[in-house]
Amino acid sequence: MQSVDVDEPGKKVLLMGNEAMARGAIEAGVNFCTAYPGTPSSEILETLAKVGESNGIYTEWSTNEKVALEAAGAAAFTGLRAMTSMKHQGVNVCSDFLATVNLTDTRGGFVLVACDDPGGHSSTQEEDTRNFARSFDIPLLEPATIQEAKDMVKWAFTLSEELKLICMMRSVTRISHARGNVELGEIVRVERRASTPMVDIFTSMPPATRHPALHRKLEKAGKLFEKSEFNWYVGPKDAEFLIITSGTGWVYSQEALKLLGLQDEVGTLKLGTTWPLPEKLVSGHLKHAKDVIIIEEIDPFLEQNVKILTAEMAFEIGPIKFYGKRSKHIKDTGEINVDSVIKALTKIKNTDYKPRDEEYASKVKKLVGSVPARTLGFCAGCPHRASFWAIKTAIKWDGRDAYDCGDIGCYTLGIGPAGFMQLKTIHCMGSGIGLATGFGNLERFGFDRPVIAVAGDSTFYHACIPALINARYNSANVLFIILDNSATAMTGFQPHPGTGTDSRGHETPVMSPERICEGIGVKTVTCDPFDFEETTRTIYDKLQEDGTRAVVLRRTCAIIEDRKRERRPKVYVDQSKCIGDECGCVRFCSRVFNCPGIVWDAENEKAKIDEVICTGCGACAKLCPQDAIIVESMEGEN
Amino acid sequence: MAGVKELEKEVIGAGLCTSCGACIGICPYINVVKDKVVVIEPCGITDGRCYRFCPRTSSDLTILSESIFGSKRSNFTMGHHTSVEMAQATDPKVRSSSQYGGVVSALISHALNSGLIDEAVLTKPFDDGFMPDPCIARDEDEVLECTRSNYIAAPTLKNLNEAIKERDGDIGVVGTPCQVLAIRKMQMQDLSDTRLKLVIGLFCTWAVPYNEFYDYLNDKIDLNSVNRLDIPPPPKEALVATDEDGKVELPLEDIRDIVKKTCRICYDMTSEFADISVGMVEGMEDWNTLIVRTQKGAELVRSAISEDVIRVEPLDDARYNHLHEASLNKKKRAIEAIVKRTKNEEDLSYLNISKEERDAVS
Amino acid sequence: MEETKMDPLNLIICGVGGQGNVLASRIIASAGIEEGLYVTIGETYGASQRGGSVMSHVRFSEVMQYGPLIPEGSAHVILGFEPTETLRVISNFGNPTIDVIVNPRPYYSIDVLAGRTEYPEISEVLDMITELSSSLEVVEATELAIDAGKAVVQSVVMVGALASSGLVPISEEAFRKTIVDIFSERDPKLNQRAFDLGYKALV
Repeated sequence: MQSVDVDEPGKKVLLMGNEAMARGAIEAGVNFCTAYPGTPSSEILETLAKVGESNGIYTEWSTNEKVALEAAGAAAFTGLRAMTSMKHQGVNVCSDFLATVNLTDTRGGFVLVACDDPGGHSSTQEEDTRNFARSFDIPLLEPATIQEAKDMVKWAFTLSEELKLICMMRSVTRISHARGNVELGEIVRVERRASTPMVDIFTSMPPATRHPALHRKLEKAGKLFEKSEFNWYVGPKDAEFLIITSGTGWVYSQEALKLLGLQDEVGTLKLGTTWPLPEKLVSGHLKHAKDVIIIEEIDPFLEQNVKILTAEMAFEIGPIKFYGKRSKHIKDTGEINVDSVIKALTKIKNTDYKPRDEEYASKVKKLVGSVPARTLGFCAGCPHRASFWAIKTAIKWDGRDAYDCGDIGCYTLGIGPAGFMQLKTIHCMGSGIGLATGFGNLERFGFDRPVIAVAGDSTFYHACIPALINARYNSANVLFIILDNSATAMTGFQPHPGTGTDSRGHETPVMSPERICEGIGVKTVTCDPFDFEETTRTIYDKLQEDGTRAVVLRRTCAIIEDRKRERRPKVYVDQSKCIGDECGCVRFCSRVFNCPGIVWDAENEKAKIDEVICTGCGACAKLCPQDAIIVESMEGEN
Repeated sequence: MAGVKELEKEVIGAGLCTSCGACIGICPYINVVKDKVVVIEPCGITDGRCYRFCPRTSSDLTILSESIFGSKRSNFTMGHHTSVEMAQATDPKVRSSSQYGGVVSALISHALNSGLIDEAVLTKPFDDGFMPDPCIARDEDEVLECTRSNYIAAPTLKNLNEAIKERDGDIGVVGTPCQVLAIRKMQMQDLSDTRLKLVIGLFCTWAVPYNEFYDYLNDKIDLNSVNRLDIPPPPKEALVATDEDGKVELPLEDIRDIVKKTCRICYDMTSEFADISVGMVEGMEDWNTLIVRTQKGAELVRSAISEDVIRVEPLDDARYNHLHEASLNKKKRAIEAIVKRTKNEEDLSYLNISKEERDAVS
Repeated sequence: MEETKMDPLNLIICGVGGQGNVLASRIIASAGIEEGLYVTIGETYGASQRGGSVMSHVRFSEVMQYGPLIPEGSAHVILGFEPTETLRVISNFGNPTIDVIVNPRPYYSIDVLAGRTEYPEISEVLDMITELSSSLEVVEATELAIDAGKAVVQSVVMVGALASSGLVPISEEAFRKTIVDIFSERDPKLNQRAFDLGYKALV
């Protein structure tokens, strides 16, 4: 597989949306790229980091999205081309800076790529970040295809430099994580040096002059958008039935029209520039339309803006019947797809469409019923399983029903059966310890449950430190447990300030969580979660204490460990020792500890290790009440 | 048929757990923290050893008697026995390290030395802190580390379970009446009898819970250096605690207030189902009361006497009658307390005794 | 180039997170590009990889770039890494014309292991798939992968089987070139062997 920086304009390659965006930035000659890992955006910086050094591009995994945007902002101020990428929730985190840097005149092209997750496949909520563009008066682009993802990023830098304004591109999972054919463009190599002219001060102040100036920039953007190659109309001239769409709505609506045979009847206005709206272009098509359906992901953003325009130009446009999320023709939550559009169009047209033979459809329903969903669980060998078992046991020993606040990472699964239903709250990065500082001061109001907060190592650096300071400062009774698996695992094992490497694999200083906690004055103890006795006893003892205190449970993520190894330790169940369903065990390993690497052999009524899944961590062997699970050492001895 | 769910509801949750330790160590679902039994998660089976072994679930004393002594239960006040005497360890070192006459230590050491048992499950009065610590002794020196009393109930039977599971060899146990009852229930339904060769029971009137006892004593003595707890015989109504600074006397009525609730429904003062039962002798600090119950027990005592490990004297009538009365009174109090709980004269909760016995002790 | 049955040809690769469906989709799509086709893949990463159900939608066309998601009932070929996941996909995307290749080795969910749900008999699952498809090929991909050297290359075995099945409009050469290319620096012999074993399994 060739690299994404290959210098062959015109070549057609298969790229992921995020890779295409990275390529677009490379073609634009980007200099400075930052990000915090977040699904579905992580591959943008990962891709740039792989080729960054040989292309003179600086890449950085920042500790959180606000810092990422600020660091990139500095580069843009000095005349370099800078880009920051993040998932939708990251925009919430950097919004304070976004709302001030928009008022600042930037010099180098400054691009923010926000990747939304409609339906929340990998998020604790779904959110439409386009709203930020309107709130903060930032020009907004939405790619509809993977090719466009590349081409738009490239253009965004030009646009940003012309307007001296940060520009935002909004992608979604089905662009970012989809793969498709991309034709590569030319890589523009321009020598840029960072400089700060003496007269320039970079600030949003005073708003009295900068806000109107921003509005003028936006008007200019609107004019540029009228001629953008990313907006087009297809279908019959002056169609009375009009689709207006952006992003993935484009491919979905076109496929739906094809399947329904409506291509000759329905026109489609596809917009790639959605804030500000190119009003002449849009109103020009609204004039010939009587029915307009607006197809977009998550919020009726485009829909509301088109309706505002229609209201303002009511006398020129005339009456229009609108369909979309507000009319619930398109579902107003969750992800859309071709079927969503088909459903809407058939409802409006009052026609029928059967995707497959009806007899087959009912046969499938009868035969298959519904296949039970798979509850997400920790991977085989995951230290979080061990940590949560120790925490659960310690809480039972304590007997006061301790209240455990959770955070964002693989360990978020602790809210479900995988983590023995331990976590009672999950919101956003750092909110576990944040909530805990509140819960930890409710004793005076009768809250007598001891308070625990868990956070991962990457989460710790991202958002937990201010909350931990708050806990100590306000004397909250909180036991803070840091689950340190030496990775930002859920998003794909990116490095962070605790792992000792950076985005390019270079060695970095390690800022251990223990030292930071102790520096704040929070007494911290470290344990290995696979040492169940010590970990459980330590957590139990800490639960008896008052004040803000911390425990670090450190063991490397199983997947990272597994990748390092040539061969996995062999683990098997001694069939003569396993007592399976009997009193004294009752399938403790597979049923209660619930590691997917241990299955129940119904025929022999014993536990069995699934060698394909088991990573050889040996945690189950430590817990087996009969010592029936044997772990062979790498040299082949027991 | 019942399992841990019922155990939680009927015993642990009802405040009736004696902390004997019989349910600890046979599965991963039940732990003990100091003297508190904790269910980590119900295992889900409906017929569990935890419930069967528990001294606070249904215990049929008539059947137990038949099984252990091979005879119908007839002595309703002190249980089956072949002799009640005074005894003491012949070795003054043993006596001075013990609470009273050192008979338990002497007999256990003798059992180890004579090869009757390979290890003994005993209890040290204090661990690093203030909690009694179940321990294993394999020779005389280790036995002497486990002398003296603490009035907190210790889950000693968890070490018996561990010994049965982890090791070969013959085992002896020293326990309180509830622990002895649990052991005998184990033997009725399990196969540990072949290796469990000796059960010595202690006299017991009540025990205190760890937390309350700790809180009560904490500002009165140095709990880190406490090395002896004593309840001298009447008329002195005191608990005497000794730490590195000296002795402190505490009113016994304060202690009685914090006695474990479950002790109030305990029917057995003299460990009626042990091979040998040992207690104190009023007014004679250097002696023990020695009750021999089974043939096994008689053999051990005989050989201990012949090898000059212990000496015995007859117990005078007055002391014998007093012992008899105290044991009977405990039964009366127990039945009263049980009926108060069940609110039903016919329902004696865990206690399954014959009508004859009920009439005799009422 | 093989004759295209349909345009677009809709392939779904399904399994449990961690079984390698993403790698498989990449190999197959790259081979498609090698063949000069428009190829689009739609799939999710992240949380679903933690033991959840995963699907990759791979769409081939000679005519245009299709969107990343296959509409309801419109699959043509299903490459199933896990039996119940194959059933799940058939439930939403199946129709009487589908051709299915499945690895019959079950991957138990934590719900099944914990006793909250039951896993059906494999023979029943295969019967249902047969009933609901035009053709079914069973490939013991995990066993073959272990033969090749490591169970983890099960996904490459399945790609080999798909390559020889004739169900996708991609030539053997295109597949082989892609295998060499993708694995040039990552266990080339192991993956080559896995592909070969899968290829032979259907011949």
